[in-house]
Amino acid sequence: MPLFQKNNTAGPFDYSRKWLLRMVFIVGTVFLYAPIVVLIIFSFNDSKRGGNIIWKGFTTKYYTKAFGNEELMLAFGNSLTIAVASTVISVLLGALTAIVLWRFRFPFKPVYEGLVSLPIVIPEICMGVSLAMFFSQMGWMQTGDSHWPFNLTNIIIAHITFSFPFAAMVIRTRLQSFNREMEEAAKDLGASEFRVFKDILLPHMKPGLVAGALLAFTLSLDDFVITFFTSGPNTVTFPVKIYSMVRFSVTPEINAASTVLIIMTLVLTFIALRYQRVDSTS
Amino acid sequence: MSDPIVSIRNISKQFDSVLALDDVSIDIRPGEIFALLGPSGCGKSTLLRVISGFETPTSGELLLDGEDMTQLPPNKRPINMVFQSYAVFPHMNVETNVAYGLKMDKVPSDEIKTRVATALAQVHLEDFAKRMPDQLSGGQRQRVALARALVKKPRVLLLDEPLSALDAKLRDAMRLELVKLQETVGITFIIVTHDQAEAMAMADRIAVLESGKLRQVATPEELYSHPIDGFVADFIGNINSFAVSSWHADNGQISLTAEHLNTVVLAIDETPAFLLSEAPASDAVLAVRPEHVTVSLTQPDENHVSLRGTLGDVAYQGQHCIAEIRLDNGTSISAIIDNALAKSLPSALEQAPIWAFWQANNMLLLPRKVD
Repeated sequence: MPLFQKNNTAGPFDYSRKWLLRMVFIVGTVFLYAPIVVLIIFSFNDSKRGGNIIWKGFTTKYYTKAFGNEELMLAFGNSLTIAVASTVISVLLGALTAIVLWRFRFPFKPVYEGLVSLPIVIPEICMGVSLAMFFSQMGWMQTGDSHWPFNLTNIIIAHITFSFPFAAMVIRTRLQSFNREMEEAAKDLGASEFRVFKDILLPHMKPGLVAGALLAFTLSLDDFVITFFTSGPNTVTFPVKIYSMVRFSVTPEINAASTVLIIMTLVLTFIALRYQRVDSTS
Repeated sequence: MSDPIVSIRNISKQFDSVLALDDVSIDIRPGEIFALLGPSGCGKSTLLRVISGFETPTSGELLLDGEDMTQLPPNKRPINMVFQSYAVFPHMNVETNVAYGLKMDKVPSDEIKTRVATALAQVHLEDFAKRMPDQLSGGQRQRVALARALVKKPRVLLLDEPLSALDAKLRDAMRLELVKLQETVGITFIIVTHDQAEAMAMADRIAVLESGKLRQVATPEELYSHPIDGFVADFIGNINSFAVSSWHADNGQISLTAEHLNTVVLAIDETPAFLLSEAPASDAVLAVRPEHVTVSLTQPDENHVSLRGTLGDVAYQGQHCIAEIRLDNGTSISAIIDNALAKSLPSALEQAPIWAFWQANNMLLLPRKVD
């Protein structure tokens, strides 16, 4: 992209020639990404305190330390388990919801639609408190004492409630572009309802499923508020653990752990984008 | 006459408050190209969807080779369809698309291979077997859709507006090719179209539908020369119609007066029933096709039906021109005239009087509309 070059052919990025717009763009980008870049750089800083902005030399010892921190790794493992489980269920539920809303007309459909997307707009703190109350009323707060992965049940359920509406929305948007004649053509050629779904509708939905899954996964992985309210005292997830570490003291170890998380997210996003591109050309 | 392959019997279809099909009965013969023709909203697509099984009629029945299949779902009918959007599966290559229907029928894979190859050869897509649909042109995608339906050897092939998405040149070529293809495979084709020229050029017989009602079923020639009413006459080609004001029949002749016209005398065997009904005379029309209308600067003799007017727009068509003759009261009629005559006529600006005339026996006496 010739964003910062003189370019004589008119194109969609022409506005970048205007210096004011260019400044706004640069300032915006720096404001958004500088903290992340700084966080990554200072994960390699040979200093005792993470808040120290004085460069004391390059080291990777905080990565070793972070990976050696058993509690942190346990929290990380918990987070991944929760994310995977809640993503799988969210995408399944989201896909089914999306199909129902896209395909069928039924009484009170707008009400149902509104209810489904409610968790998107409800403040997280309200979701957190209500779920915590629900779990304690049901006597499920004790699940934290059971064995892995059942100790995560509460959190997984909580994560599904707020991430499946996102998955449903993304998948439904994808369904909107489906040509119903495809379905009829398949049926006309002898396919049963199930074959139509498997051979025609599902391949069309795939980019939506991948995008929905990615969204659900990242939402789950970095959720703090709802997790904080619904986890028992003995189950800790990655964001919750980081928070408690920050309260104790900010060390480059936290930077290192966060960097690992950022890289993981980037890789996942890259894979998802890549996958969608391949899929959409076919 | 052979038994009909498809029998549409008293089929009606009600959508909420709209009666899309109103007691339609048609017999379609094996091996013919049959066109369902009508303006948009006439019910032709609904009828096609009833035949394919995507709509269940509100009443009436549908027979295939004498067997009732009104309630049979589309995937159980030995009928295949080429959709208007072609509906080629975007995530499968050409070969897989064509093989899909056979795979659903659990045809052995080596047989699928040979049949797919044959079908692709029939539509001249042998070299495109491994292509993905987005690497094909619109015309090629349509061929894929055709091959995909034909490979199943259906009893009847349905085509929904098969040429509407193609550009003019390709449309003419595809028209011929479809007819040739039909002759090769011998499968009955039912084509839905709103384009009368398309229907006339391709079909052995045409059903004209309007507002859910069947108006007429006939061969293209018959539809053109003996339309059942003013609507069909106007829909199949152009026609100049004049409302009848009074009539008098005797002795194998009928003399009529109509708006703008001098008395027209037609030879008839018997007085048409629609004139004898209670309806006013103006429910009948006298009509003449533009190609029967001649234009001249001098008044024609008494043996012709003639009209005086001024020349309006002249549209050049290549091999001939379509001239508009404006009558004194503001209405106009059209005539097909040859290019040399068009050149010799005074320009429209001069407002010079000209005469349009034709022979009385070229006129059709029709009811305005049959219900």
